[in-house]
Amino acid sequence: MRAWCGLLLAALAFAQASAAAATPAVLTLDQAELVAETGGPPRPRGTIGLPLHWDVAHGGETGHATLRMAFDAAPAWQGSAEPFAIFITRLGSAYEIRLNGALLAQAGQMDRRNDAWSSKQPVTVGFPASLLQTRNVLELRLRVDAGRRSGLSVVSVGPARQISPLAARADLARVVLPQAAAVFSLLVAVFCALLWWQQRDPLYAWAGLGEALWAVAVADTVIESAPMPWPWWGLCVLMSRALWSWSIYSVARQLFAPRPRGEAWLLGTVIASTPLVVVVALALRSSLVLGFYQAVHMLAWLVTLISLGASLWRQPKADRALFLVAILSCLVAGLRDAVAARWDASLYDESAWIKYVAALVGATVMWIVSMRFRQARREVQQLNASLTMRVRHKEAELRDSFARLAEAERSRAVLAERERILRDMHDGVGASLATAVRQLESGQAQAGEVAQTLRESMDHLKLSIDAMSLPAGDVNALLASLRYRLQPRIESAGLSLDWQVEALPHWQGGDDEAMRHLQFLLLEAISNSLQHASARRLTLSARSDEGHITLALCDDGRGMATDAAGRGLRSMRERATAIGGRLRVGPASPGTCVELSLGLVAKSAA
Amino acid sequence: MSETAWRVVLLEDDAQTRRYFEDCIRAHPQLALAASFETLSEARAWFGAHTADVLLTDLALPDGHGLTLMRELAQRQPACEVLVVSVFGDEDSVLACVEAGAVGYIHKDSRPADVTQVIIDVKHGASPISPMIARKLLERLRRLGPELPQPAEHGVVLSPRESEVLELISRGYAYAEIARLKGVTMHTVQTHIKNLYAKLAVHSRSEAVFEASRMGLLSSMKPGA
Repeated sequence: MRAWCGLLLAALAFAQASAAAATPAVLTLDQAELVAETGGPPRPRGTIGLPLHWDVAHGGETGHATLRMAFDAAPAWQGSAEPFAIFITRLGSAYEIRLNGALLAQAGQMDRRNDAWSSKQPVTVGFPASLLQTRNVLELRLRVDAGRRSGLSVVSVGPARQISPLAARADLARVVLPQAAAVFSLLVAVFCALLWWQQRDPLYAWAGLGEALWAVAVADTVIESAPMPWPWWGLCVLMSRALWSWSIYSVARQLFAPRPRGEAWLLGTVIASTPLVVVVALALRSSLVLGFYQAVHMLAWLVTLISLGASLWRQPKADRALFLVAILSCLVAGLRDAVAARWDASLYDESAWIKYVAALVGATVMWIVSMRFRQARREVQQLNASLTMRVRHKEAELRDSFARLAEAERSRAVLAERERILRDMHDGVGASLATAVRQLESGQAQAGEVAQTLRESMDHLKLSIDAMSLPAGDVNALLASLRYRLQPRIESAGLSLDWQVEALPHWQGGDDEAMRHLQFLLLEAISNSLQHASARRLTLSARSDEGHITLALCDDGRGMATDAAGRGLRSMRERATAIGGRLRVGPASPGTCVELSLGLVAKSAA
Repeated sequence: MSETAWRVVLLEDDAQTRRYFEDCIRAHPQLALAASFETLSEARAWFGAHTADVLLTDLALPDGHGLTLMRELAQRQPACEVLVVSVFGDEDSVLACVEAGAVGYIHKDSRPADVTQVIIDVKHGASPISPMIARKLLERLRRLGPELPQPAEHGVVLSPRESEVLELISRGYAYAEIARLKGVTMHTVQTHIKNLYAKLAVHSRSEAVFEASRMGLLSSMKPGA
């Protein structure tokens, strides 16, 4: 515990000692004897307090000013051999710095009014300790130009080691940060330009233009030697700021659309009058005109902001609110900077705030861009989702309609099949059943005759059933079924059947309909031979050659002369024509041959 | 031919048809009507205690399907030949019966001589077959054959001669004509067909066993139950 107290005391003592050593080491010179030469012989103006803000103290005058500051060496400096330095936050426009008569530094041309040089950056001048005396005189000779923020801030003198933190701090505020702000503005400008190139959205064009102009305006606060002679560079910077102001309004117009015409007129008129104001100010050699212009410009913005604020109130939106806050911040900073630059001499060495604050505008633009991308992405996702839904819906619809089509096709097929079966029943089993009924009812027919007719009905029925599963175009299957079904009848009629059937190729024209015709045709031919020919032997041959299938049924009977055979023959010819076959019926020795030739490939219903 | 007559059992729900077939069988000296039933359950009960040489059965019965009895007989009394009574002899129903163990079918409208001839032929090793069934068989065997990795166990292998015979039948040739064309006896031709039917029945049984074992049914089944 005691040890801790001791340590604490030692630390306190050290802090006190270092404070005592540091305080007097850097002298702050805040008074100077001023001798001014403005268009006449040098005139002493007595001792003035620093900072000297020329535009505020001697508005409109141009010439030279000599400021002399006498100071005694601080006790802490005694015997010191380390390097010393003078640190000046702001001075201008051209200057010469002398210590005890020795020229330490100079910048700009002393005898050329409104040259390109204007000291924008803090000045640190080093000198050896040997130059110091007990009493010293620091003399600053300045070329002072009206309206260029000439003057002199408070001066610090001391060992370079202690000056350098001050210099570094000022450097950060006045050089590094503005440079960063300018680079940021340039980056936003390039980004917006690329966006505009892709999307042609005027918002991006105006934002890009505004940021590019602002980069020039901010760079001016760091550039000491202007790329153009005065007043053109000054005009250039002024126009950059003015057009920046218009660009910001144009962005606002996009965000807050629609805008009343008067609003644009008000700001537009003020901004368009900028070159005229500069000419008038130069002609009158008075910065008051510029001050008045600035005030009007800011007033116009104030009105515009109120109008924009009203719109925001009616229709609140995040991007509008943020942008409004950014502009409002710029207006406040601009107002403060104007006061600092034109009315308050004590604010001479302060840096302009607006160059930091205006970065808010760039940041807001970037935020708006990111929000828009997020929105676009969300919309794309929603679109994708809805497309997926629609595709799914369409798929379901397609499936349904396919199912309906298939169903329709099925019912059509069923209908066709039903029609075919009905026709078969009518021509085949129906007809022979009707015959059987007639035979029975007439009372004249023998039981054997009726049984025969009924057996024929059964044959018809079985052939119809076979036909349902006959493969289309398979003539072999058709013939085999025919033989199988009719064999008992042929045998019971006392005929022998000679079967000479080759393996036949596929009959292209043999669809269901054609197969049925062929079946009936052959059935008719066989029935004819059985009933009318009084034959002993029946030969069926089937062969294929030269693109034809040739079927021949020959008997060794007495030929067909009867009427019934003639009717059967007519029906056979009709069916042969229907299937594009050629039928030949002729005598054989002995008996009759029925020959049918079917084209293998073409199906022609001649 | 044989000293004792073949014992035939009839299962047919239509009384007229049953009477017709009963008369056909009774009239033939080589056949004896062992029993005649109207319902499936009666027939199954009878076969629980008796044996027969031939069963003539209808398919659609008032209390079930003829296939049930066919499968039972194929297991318990393989010596009993089954013939299906069919109006049309349409290939699908006949093939299903062949797979269940039947050796063929008799048309309902056959003449009495044909009815008894078919029964006698069957007992002598024939299998009634139509060209349509032959064609269907060819199609099915061609489809079955190459697909199965172990045809000896699960598939049905068709010998070239069997294939030729089936092809000729499907073209409408009769057994006798085929025997003449191929220079073999008619009995050989009939044997081919019968062998084929047996293969098909065995195949369908092994497929059923395979299916059953795949579904985990076999382990819970008692053999011969």
